[in-house]
Amino acid sequence: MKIKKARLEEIEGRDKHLISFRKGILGFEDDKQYVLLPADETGESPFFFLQSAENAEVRFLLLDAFSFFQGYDVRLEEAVIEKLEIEQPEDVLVLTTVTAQGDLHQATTNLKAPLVINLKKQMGMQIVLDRKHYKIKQPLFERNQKAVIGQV
Amino acid sequence: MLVLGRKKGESIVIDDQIEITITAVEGDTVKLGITAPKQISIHRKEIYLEIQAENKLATASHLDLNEILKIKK
Repeated sequence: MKIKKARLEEIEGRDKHLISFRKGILGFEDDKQYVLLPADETGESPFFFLQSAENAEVRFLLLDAFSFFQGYDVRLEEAVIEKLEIEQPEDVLVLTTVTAQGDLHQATTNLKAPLVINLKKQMGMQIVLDRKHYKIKQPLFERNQKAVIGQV
Repeated sequence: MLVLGRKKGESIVIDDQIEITITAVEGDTVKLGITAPKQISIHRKEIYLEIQAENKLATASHLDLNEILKIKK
């Protein structure tokens, strides 16, 4: 299954921001329940927050990498589709974690291991992509950004 | 930890469904062939450790929300 677009509108206005990560997220295996929030309410920002419902200190800044990196391409394996009970690509949001120490222009994002979220079933998991050129520390702002991501 | 001695071409079976075969031994490198159901994910451990470390770093990040919101899709 090929996933290209990310939409959160469908869950807007409803009490459906709670996402369960059954296996946790690598390094945070004890945190299973998260709240997903867009960084702004206008839908113009490619950023989201994922806040652990159990631990106030566990919060991720996430990026809708599809809208940010042209050519970023994620194909979900059968196993992921089954585990997240995915029925159609429109229900799926693929977001990457952002790492930064104060300066957004030095920030990196993890294209190697995106979080895949089935909004309809409110389930998510972190997957590891088998593509060598998807970096764990991909700078957000880099010259020839499209060229870097576009290679297959 | 269970330690088993295996020769080239020999296998072990885990839980009736995962088979790991020693396909080659060259110096200190062992090549493994793995047969497992498709829902089992298999990765080198280094990748897991790197991602785990990156997730920890990600949650320790700090950024000014106003800066973040300047960036549009």
